[in-house]
Amino acid sequence: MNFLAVKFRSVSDRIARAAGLDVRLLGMLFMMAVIWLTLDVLTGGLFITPRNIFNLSLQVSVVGIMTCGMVLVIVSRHIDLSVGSQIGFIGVFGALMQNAWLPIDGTSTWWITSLAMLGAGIFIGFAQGLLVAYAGIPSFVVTLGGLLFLRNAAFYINSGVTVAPLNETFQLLGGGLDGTIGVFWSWVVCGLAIAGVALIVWRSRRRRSVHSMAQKPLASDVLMVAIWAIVIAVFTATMNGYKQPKTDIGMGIPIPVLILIGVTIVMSAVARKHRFGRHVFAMGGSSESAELAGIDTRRLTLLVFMMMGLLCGLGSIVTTARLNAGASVTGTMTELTVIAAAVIGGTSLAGGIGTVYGGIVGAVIMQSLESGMILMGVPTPLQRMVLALVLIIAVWVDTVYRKARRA
Amino acid sequence: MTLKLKLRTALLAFAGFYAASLGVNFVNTAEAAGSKRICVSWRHFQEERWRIDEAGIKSILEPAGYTYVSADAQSDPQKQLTDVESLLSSNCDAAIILAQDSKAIMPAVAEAKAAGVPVIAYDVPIDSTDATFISFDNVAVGRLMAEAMVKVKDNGNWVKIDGDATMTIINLFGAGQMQVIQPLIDAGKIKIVAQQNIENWKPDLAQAAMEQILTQQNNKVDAVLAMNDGMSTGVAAALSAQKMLGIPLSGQDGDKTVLNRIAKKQQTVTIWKNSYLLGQAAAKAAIEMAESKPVTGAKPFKTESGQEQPSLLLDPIAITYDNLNLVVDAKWINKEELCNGVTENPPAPCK
Repeated sequence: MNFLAVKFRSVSDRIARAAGLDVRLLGMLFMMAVIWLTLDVLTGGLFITPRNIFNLSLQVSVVGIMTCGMVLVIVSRHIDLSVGSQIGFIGVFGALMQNAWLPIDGTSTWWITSLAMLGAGIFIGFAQGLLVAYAGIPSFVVTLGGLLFLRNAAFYINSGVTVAPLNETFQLLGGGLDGTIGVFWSWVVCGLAIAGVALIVWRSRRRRSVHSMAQKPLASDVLMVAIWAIVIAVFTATMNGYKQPKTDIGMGIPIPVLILIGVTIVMSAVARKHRFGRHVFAMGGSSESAELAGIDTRRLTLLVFMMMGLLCGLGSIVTTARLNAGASVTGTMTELTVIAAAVIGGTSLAGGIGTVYGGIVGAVIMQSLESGMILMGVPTPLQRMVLALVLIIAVWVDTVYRKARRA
Repeated sequence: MTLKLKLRTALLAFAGFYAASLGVNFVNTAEAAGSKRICVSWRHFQEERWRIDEAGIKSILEPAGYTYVSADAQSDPQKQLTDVESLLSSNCDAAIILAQDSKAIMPAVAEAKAAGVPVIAYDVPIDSTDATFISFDNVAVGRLMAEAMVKVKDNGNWVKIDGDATMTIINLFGAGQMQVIQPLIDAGKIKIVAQQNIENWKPDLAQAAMEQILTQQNNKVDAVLAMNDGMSTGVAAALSAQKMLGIPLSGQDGDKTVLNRIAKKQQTVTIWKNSYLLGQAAAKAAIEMAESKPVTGAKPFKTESGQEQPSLLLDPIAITYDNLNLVVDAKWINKEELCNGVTENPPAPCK
């Protein structure tokens, strides 16, 4: 029996690998599909509608952006507990900047503020990274300090007073009523994305043939491109299918979702292809061997925290613009949602293992459950209890899967 | 092995922070011994309004020759017990306690009684006959909020956005709201189509919840009864994305951004509690109690468990488009902040 199971698994793994597919990711996507279908039935068909998918993708954008960074932080065997406080602090800072220091209606206000907010994130990451990498203080302690310091700083810089409203162009970055790119440009982006996928697959085939490496079957590559094309087109059609209130004009892809997709692509590429990402994985696997191999682990750690700070800045821009207010309590407990998303997505807390797209799927699963349960009218405490159980079960399943593969 | 080490460092770190926060406390209480002193134990000083309460308290204590001593429990009921203990050991003449937890604070009240120090339960009830309760009438908060809403819209589909489910004070707000709305629900005029409690009263969570409710109801929502201003800011953002800003919406606290929204007719009401006055009332009562005099104006009040307790309940004020001058006159907000971006139909103070 057991032998058969192992045999079956190895065969299915081999097929999947030959087709260039990640079995873990497939499993997670399958889970997500099950959750979506279940929620759709339980909400009486409300869950899988253009409107709710539009909501969901907006709601997941902030946590998703930060999860991309958190995956790498955890892979490098560190943790960042300060991310929720970072978006709170940077948000109040950015809102103050627009309301108190720059003309609120100025044409340059939005980008100066955005750059300053990104800069603030990088600076916070730099300060925390220095303390972790060069002063040798455990990241848990440094970022716990960061959590307390920044949350209180967010309160202190404006005595806890919420700052609103914000610059109108800046608000677009949060994907409000006008914060989408519209039907036409959504289709343009869709076309470019499909062309991009095709180009990547084609280049990989050419590279393999130049280096006379084993080629994947052509059919599997064509299938791959086709699947991606369908997914991208369906997503675009869904975003366009959601009409602006009381009109027949489609909304299109919201700007925060574009930002999230962009960040995911870039961070995935950095993690898998770029030297920086490979070094992070090497360091997370074994810090000593990484050092012996000549990697400057301190500099690398500093960079990881700066990158996390940058993404917090970006997350803060989106959440502040979306709320159209800088409130000092924004982002309370978000650090735990972000860490949970990364972990559900298969990032190992022991370091060295994790994928960016896994983290994104983790974030989508969490947000789907949360949004779906509100649609169902489930009382809040019960929602939290369900999310807690899902977190534990997801990690348990993952552990079992990994053990089975090693056996 | 490494994991164990990490855990140990983590625990040490927590212990460190804890010790540090206690330290502040000792410094606070060690100064100025020997004078007449009123001790204040804050629940969580981290919110805008408590500074205003504190200013009110000080404005009475200082001219009367009393010293103000305080400690901040930082939302931790355990720490608040130690806070009160150390405050008591510094010889207070009366203690003002803003309890984090109305029940967990009981040992501290018993200790104060043993030490012969009178206790004022400030803003949050303490279920004991040994405490004098000074607060805004929280049931009235809910009632005034609902009354102002019903004035504009007394029928249709209503949504309730309530505060953090773990805080018992929301029951008082809720009871007040229901005094007004229940008869209309029974008459079939108002229908509560959705209700959510928002963890930590967070605006961003309120926004997501409202988006989901609007999706669920296909925008057929006529009014939103939100329990405070932070959450109403999140609700307003969700409504604005559906071009629905302007339907009746409530709040509480008199946040500046909300007052601005009321001036723009984007929100109906916020319940304003002038906490400077509350601080002054508590300080006056504390001095009277320290001098063993009865508290002026105190009336008997039934606690949650039905015990009788002297109390002083101040009335909150419902701020709507028509009485925005009140907040300007009290210098709570200046004209520029209130009237920022108000173009058509300016309210009286913006004319």
